[in-house]
Amino acid sequence: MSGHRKQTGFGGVIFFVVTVGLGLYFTFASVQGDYGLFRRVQIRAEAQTLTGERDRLVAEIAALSNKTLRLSDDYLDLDLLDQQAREMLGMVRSNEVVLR
Amino acid sequence: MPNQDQLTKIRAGKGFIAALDQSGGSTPKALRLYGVEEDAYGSEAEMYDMIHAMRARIAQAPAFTGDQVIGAILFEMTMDREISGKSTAAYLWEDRGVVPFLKVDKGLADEENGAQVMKPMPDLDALCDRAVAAGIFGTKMRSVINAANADGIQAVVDQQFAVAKQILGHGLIPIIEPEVTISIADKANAEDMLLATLTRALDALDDDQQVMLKLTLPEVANHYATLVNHPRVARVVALSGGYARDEANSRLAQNAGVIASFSRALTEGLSAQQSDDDFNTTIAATIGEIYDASVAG
Repeated sequence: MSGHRKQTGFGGVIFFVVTVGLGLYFTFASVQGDYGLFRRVQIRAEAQTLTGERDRLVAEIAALSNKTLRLSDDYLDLDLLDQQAREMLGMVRSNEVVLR
Repeated sequence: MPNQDQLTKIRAGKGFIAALDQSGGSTPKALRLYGVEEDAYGSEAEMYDMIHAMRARIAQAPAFTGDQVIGAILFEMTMDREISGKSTAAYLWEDRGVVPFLKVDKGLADEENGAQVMKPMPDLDALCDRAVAAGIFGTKMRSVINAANADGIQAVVDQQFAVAKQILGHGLIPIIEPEVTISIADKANAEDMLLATLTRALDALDDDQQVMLKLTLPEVANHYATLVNHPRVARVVALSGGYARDEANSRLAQNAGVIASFSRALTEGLSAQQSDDDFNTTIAATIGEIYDASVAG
């Protein structure tokens, strides 16, 4: 009652080759691919750089908003007005001598 | 030797210190706010006359007295002019009971180590002599701190106290103003460093020397309490540095013993076209509001 057909070894080899091939591909893709490890590290670095840039710009906006308020019609900080008139417009008081 | 009555007023007086006007370079802006357009004056001299007329009108308003305004910071050009036939400083003290101060700094140097020290003041001694002759009580000089950087803060404090000693030599009381920019992220750290640096510098003053401090309203309530009670400090005044009036007033109220010295022009809501009654009513309201905030602390 043997009933078993004799297995030829060729199918196993194909299976093994395909499996190893797919394994190598997926390993390569998971490291080098567009969604792989290296890309993830690169994206994280970019994100960090952009976050730093954003924080710098937020600080710069806050500083400029503060200056804008203090030079606005309903606030007018005289010290800052004096400072900006000198720095931005290059103004000096009439009795001052500029030494270059 | 400083005028003892004025020193007593500054030490114990209730009220705030006002900035009475602005420098020459920024006069057109302030005049425009006051309702005087640029076509209303033909020359620079006329412009200064108009600004002085506005300043005199403010100084002569009934509410502008020593009861609420204990001091006024003048610019050099104002000191050289007169109100009601007297030098501005003499008029302010003798007729209004307001202690006159003079702004002596000549602007800020470029930022270094997160701070801006003052530009050199080569003619400071001559300016102080003129100020003493005109009846000025004290001076004011401003630096700016933009980061919690120990080197930058030390440089600012060192320069301020070096110039302060020069001013004390003339018998004037210096207001030291190391402004901390309110928009920086590490403001609280910067204020901690500033407090420690100022304390060391104050401890190094001679026993007969006194200064005043003008400091940005701190993040932590009563942060500068030790300076308010320091024997070398005549008074600590607060600058708003950009806080909206309500926030500035509420922060001021949380700092006991500190009074306001808002650099904001008192010209908010005032105009040349107003009648004297309207003008005086408006400025009385402005003064009253800032006074209430000062004494609430």
